[in-house]
Amino acid sequence: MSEWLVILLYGIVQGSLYTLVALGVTLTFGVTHILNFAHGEFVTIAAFALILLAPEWGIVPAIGTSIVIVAVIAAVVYTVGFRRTMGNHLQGLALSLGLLLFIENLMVREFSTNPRRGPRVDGFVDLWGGDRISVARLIVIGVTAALVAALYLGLKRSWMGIALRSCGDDELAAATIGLPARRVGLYAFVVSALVAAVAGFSIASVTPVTPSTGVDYLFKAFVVVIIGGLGSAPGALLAAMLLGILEAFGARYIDPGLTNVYGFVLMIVVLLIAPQGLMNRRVARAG
Amino acid sequence: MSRLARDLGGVALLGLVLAVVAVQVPEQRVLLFNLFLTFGALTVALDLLVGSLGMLSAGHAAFFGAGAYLSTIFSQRWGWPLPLAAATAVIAVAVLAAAIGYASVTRTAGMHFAIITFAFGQLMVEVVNQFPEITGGSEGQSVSWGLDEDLPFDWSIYRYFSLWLVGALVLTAAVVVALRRSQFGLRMQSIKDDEAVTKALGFNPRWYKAVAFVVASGLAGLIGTLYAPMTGFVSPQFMGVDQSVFFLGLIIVGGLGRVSGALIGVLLVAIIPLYLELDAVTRPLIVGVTMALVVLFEPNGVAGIADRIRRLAARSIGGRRSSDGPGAGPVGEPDRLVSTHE
Repeated sequence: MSEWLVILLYGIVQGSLYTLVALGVTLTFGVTHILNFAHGEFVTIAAFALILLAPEWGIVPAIGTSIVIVAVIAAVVYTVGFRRTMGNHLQGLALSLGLLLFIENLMVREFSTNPRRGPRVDGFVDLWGGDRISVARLIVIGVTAALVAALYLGLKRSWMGIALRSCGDDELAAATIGLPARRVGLYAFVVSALVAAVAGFSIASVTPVTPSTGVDYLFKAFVVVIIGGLGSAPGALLAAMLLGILEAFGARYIDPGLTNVYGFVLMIVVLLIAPQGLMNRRVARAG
Repeated sequence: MSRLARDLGGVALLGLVLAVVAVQVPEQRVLLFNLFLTFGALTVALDLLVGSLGMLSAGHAAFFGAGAYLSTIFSQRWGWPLPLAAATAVIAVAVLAAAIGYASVTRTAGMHFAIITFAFGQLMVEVVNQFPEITGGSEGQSVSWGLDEDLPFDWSIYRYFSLWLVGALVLTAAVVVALRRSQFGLRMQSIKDDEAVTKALGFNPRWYKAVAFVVASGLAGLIGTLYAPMTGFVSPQFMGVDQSVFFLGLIIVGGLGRVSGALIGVLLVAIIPLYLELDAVTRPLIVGVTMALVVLFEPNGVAGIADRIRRLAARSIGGRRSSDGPGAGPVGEPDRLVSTHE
């Protein structure tokens, strides 16, 4: 029983990290219909900014500065680039791909590919039956829960959340009532980047980080977002948890070498049964 | 002269030029030239999906790798003669593509299609990783061509492969051009423009998409059977999603829906950075910037820029001569080739 609980907890930690990355991807896509390959770089930049700044300035100023850095980068990238590519998904794809290559390799050049450890909270919590889990992992679960709750309330209640959702639902109708899609797209990018920054901090607090960490999580996030339904935030949460837990149990009971396979298999099965994803009302079927 | 004949003539001319280059290219550049031919053929095949149907396949490199691996396994492990091994490998890849393609096109479209093909591609990479005793696992394995004796004209084996690869590129381009200029091509255009209307006309879009997917992926497999013995090495790195997505980037930068666009993209983004011998970090950095800037300023890619210059020149000269356009690829109506529909 206790072993199951530990595996479940580890699965939830992994699922939380997937959730944090996937939420940004799905939010950007839901509003702007851009599948942003450069989203993973926001995660990497945040993680590196925290790791480099924390020893000098202390944790709290480092977190604040990192968030500002990522938000500014996202705003610039959107204003200069993605704003012009809206409506042409091939152009958006190539642009985000170019950005991904550029940023990732710039970071490799500056910081090398050596894994770096972020600032982390030490200590363990005892579970029943003598198992332990690190406090850092529990904090990740807590942060994710808090962020999901905040995002849920924000999207449901705040002016900006309503603007984001209405643009995602019907761009033309939103434009009619005075919500220009291109400006709302900027909000979507900045909010996604903020979530990505939290994802970066969380990843850095439990695992070593390299310049390719963001891309690795990005591909997992694509899987998650497709399983949950492209553009659906609750779907992303559900799918991320499913995937995290599936991977944890799969690694323990089936074969740890197959960890990457579960997600792809799960996604293919979901797409073949429900092509629009688990929680997307809009139909994404082929003709 | 019909447009098909004109385009096929262009492809033949391209083949002739490339064959001459293959004989003349200096020895230390032969490998780079072969890489150009390989990537060129792969992207021209992929463009059949992206340019003609708007299908973003993110698993193209996986089929390329599948061709490479299967032919290697058949010839090296099982001792089949090479032509038989290669032919069987291509057929096997086409069958695999038919299964994957049919499942994918019937269930998904747009970005969903891109991601399901990405998942199938990654699954194929995992299959390679899981059976190291047959495939060499994630380390890859070397491929020997079995020909070590002296070759005529004092050519290296690589130069012979150049000619084979020129053949593969010409075949690929001819197939793609012939399909585009046929009734099949008109129906593909119609599906891309308006799937519902095409359906109402009595054509099943799934069938056309699946066939195009099998053709493009089968050609990728064929190129794989030639590339593996050429480099003498196969590894899962050939077939990963980053490769597939890179190919997509190449065509988008070059310009969709024409052979010349795909080749320009390969030359500009893949080959020139290698030619300049930049280090492994600077190269993708520059590639990334180039890719982002080109698509930002000209959504139709480099071929779109060329069209623009040609139109400008035509206007300033006042002649209509330039409407025929030089170059090997089919020069269609550029504005129709990149659609911006959702």
